Amino acid sequence: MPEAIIWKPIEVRNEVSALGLDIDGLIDCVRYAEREKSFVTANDAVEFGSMVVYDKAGRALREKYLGNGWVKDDADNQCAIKNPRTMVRVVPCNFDEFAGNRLVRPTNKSPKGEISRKRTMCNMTAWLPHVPRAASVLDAGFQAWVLGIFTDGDRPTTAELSLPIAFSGHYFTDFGKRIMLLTGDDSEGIGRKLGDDPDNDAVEIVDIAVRRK
Amino acid sequence: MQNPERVELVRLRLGLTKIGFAKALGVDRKTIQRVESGTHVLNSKCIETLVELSGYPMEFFEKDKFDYPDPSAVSFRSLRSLTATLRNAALAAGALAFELDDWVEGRFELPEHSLPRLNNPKPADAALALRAYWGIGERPIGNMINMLESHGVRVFSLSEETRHLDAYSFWRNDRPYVFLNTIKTPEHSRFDAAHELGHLVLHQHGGPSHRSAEHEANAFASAFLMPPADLIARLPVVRGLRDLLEGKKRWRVSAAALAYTLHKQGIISDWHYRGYCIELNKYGGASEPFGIEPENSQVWQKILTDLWRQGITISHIAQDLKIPERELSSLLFGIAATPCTAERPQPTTLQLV
Repeated sequence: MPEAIIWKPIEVRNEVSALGLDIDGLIDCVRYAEREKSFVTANDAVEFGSMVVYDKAGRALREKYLGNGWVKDDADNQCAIKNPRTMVRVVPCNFDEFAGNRLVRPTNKSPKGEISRKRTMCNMTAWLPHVPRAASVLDAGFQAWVLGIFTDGDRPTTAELSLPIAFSGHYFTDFGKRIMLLTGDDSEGIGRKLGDDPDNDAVEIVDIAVRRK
Repeated sequence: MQNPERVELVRLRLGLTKIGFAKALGVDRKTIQRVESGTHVLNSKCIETLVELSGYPMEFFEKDKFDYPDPSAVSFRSLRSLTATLRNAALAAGALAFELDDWVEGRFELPEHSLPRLNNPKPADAALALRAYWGIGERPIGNMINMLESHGVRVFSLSEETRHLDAYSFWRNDRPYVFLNTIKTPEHSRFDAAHELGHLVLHQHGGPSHRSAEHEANAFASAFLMPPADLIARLPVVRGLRDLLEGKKRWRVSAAALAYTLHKQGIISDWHYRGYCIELNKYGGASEPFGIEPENSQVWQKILTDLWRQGITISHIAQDLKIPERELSSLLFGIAATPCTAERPQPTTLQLV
């Protein structure tokens, strides 16, 4: 089935809200993870930055949403949250540079293992024709959403909330739905780029009256 | 008749102690003490040496009494390494600025000051109250010197080329004065100007005698240049040093000042603030990443341009005031040198409005 790509702001808000989340909260989580990663230097362990993003995004999700219908979920050692009411599970993941790009399908940055494959397969069942959407079997029917984040020091951070439905060779290969959170060229809201025309509303230089007596 | 106060003024401008001054003039230290106390006058040979040494004309020492900034009412923004000699030299420059200002006041109508009397206990509240009073809301300040001058503050550049002294300010006859060091980075200078504005507003009716006055002026300057509401609206999250460097362009402050304010506002944590400080220190104190253009005085530019059109150059002012031209130039942001590079025009009757 074709993947649904949600990118219009109003639709994004609605979709995220339907999952029991909020866009500002999710972006805060991404920004927090990105900020923490900025302190990783070349002297840290290889790929430690990705680990930081994963860990801090997971921590931020928990700090933001636990207690509001969401509970902590450490199943399979994944740093996730899940909502028993909406039957949604969210886990952070480092994506490649196509995260947040509605024209190109992204995938996970580093290879994933059996757990991710199983959860993806589980999501896929929900999208089979004539099968009710809540028919997942793993985790008693939880949909496994992935908060995909791409961070790079020289490029804008991008992120999306995706529902993977196909998995091959340790990588997500297809998504049932992709909700764009940060696309890298946001012109308004919290995701805007800083430094655009920074002085446009500065107090102008006034002409001071100096009169000869 | 020799004016002993003017001899002392020149000694202070030269940055000499009484012993050093006596040595330079080839007299005994007690002679200098007697001269400065008014019980003795320098002989003609000493005066000639002094004229040659200082560049001040003979007539300067024969002029009347002059106003001298009251040291107890002056707020210095300086490093602890500032010596008394340097401090006194800077204050003596203030006395010269008075003479220049009075000379200009006799020829030009300048804006009256519009600094309100604020009773806000908190400096940040006072800064926002002043913004409201001046009608600038939460907008960034495009040009800090222009802002001060347009509200009647007399702004001079600091004569002393030192990194130990940033700025100082005081009130004289209900007129606010600010002296700024121009060898600092423009961002630093803007913060100094806002800091001194804080002193003028907060400590108007009592010298900044208490130790917390400097902290209050800093808090005032932060809030004045970076209004908290605008800061939170524009920079709610700092993702890294890149955001700091981008954000500083809006408020035209140093990255360090922005990081400090964000830390105070709770937008960045202790840990992150420390990390940013370490990163920013790599740039060194004398340079600022993505630096801005230096600000200049519009009032002095206009006055000197108008005088120049009348055929009056800085040299003529110096001759009139009996003050060396270099001393005046150093008080005027170096603007004075500009018109002299062109051919001197004939006097005109142009009215500047």
